[in-house]
Amino acid sequence: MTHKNVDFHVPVLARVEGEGAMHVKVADGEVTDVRLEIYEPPRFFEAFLRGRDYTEPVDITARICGICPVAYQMSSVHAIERLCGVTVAGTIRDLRRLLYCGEWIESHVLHVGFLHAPDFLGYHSGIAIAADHPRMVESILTLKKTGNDVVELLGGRPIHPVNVRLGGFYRAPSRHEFEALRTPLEEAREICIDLIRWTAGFDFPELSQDYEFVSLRHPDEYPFNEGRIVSNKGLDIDASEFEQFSVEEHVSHSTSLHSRLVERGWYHVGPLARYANNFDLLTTDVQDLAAEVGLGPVVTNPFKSIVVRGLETLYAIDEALRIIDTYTPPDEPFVAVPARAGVGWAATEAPRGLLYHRYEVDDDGKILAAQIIPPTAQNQPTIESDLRQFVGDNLHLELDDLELKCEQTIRNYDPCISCSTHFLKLTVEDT
Amino acid sequence: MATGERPPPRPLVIGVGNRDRGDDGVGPLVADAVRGRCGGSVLVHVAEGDLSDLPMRWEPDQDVIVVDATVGGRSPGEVSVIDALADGLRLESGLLSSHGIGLAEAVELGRILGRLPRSLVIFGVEAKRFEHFEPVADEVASAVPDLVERIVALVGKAAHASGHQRELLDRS
Repeated sequence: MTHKNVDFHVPVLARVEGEGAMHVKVADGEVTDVRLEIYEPPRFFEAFLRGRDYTEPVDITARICGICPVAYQMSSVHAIERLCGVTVAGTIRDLRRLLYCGEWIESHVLHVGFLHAPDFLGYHSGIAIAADHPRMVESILTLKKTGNDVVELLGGRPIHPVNVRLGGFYRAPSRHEFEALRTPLEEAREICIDLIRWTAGFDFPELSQDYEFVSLRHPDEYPFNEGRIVSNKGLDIDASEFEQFSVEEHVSHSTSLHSRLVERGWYHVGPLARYANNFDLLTTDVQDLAAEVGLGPVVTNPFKSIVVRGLETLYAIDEALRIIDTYTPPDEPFVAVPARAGVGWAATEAPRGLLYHRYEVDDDGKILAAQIIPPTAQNQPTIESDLRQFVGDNLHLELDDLELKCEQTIRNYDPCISCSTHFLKLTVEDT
Repeated sequence: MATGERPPPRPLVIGVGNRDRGDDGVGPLVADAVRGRCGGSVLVHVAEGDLSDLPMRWEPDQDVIVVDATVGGRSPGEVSVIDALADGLRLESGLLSSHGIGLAEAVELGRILGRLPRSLVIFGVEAKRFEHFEPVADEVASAVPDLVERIVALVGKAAHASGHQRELLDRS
């Protein structure tokens, strides 16, 4: 039967980072209310940064997230180096890509195996999967360990790395140290291919929208740290222009701001967006595997993001191996970044999507203002739009199944709620 | 040992906790001290966050000691010992985030996967406070030297021996 009236309220979403709820209401067959309610308290990181030294955001902003600290470190160093007129190239630039590879591997694999796969297989957790699919869970843990080890070697520890600084790193590992990663990465590569084939065999609910996919685009490489901000609908801007095109808005049901593109509306960031905008920059092996598992160069079903995350993981493994193969330790692990007054912008590709930072610094190198726009804040309106469409199309499902698939619709985006509530927006009204 | 046979792995000491959260840093503190005392004769791993990959860090024929902070209503600095293989751990995560799993879940995952070490002893050090960027409290820090000595003695004298798990517990 098709339901005419539905009222779901899931007070605590499972298998997402942070604290959020879901509310869906259908009346007389029409979806009347859809809310991803984020009630995690705001964390005021942008305010913490005011008055701090220009060298500090790399460590302070990393604390916004325990899953993607590298993304915060990379966006902050690129924004401030741009402000200071410094460009980091060569081996240090490669090492930054390598660090990002480690984060993508550990973050993507955690989501694929422990947070998202249970939805498709009918389990409540990754641990529950282990009893029936022990070898696959062991593979997932091996991949996760490999990602952790890359971040730990280069970042000093696997969570909240301490080896990153403006201009590069405090210490560049030796070639011998990197060699120890080669065999685990080569083994991880084969495991990852199996993982992709496994997830591609899941049953995917139908959902597709005319998304505006927004991501970085670099002329020569699948993007981590650099590139212009582009979309599949003609957006092509420098990071310095981003706030002219993207606005953040308060909504009553979320402590996280919602982002929209001016005169364009909600948009989609993350693996599907990167993949659609940069498919030609993936390696031939990754492209071929995508074709083998039935994916074209653009994927518009967000339930299939689990497969795309796997493909991006494979790319990150291959890129890590490439960088290790060509690595020669730099003479110095960093370049000097002298302070100067100005404004700097940067966007990099966190595992969950575009992460934008802006900093304004005074003559003494003190931060006057900071703006951080994380991927989950950008995706929230898109998630709600997906929910609205999915519910409208699936009122024939059993209610328990519909509710579960609504949660899954949210988890398609691997939302990091803790990241999204970092903001401070203060309005002062004259009386 | 027969020719070509893999030598038994060195004992593994794992310090669990966040160094920047007060007494939660006691696990890494003990791990650092054991590394300093034992050098390369013991493998030391500090796990400051997600523990999901622990089952892939130990070997089936390895002796493993884990040190973690506890909240159990005891006096700060009091040390408790758990035989994780014999007694198990109650599967109750204190984590708000589902992007990470705790020690009990990691052990349970290892059990399900058939990837548990031959001995797994957990030393819990009762914590007093977990404030950001606070040092380990004096009462908790005062327990560290004795605990390090116990661990050094255990891994040194009983490493790789049959029945090592029982011996670890009997002596602790």
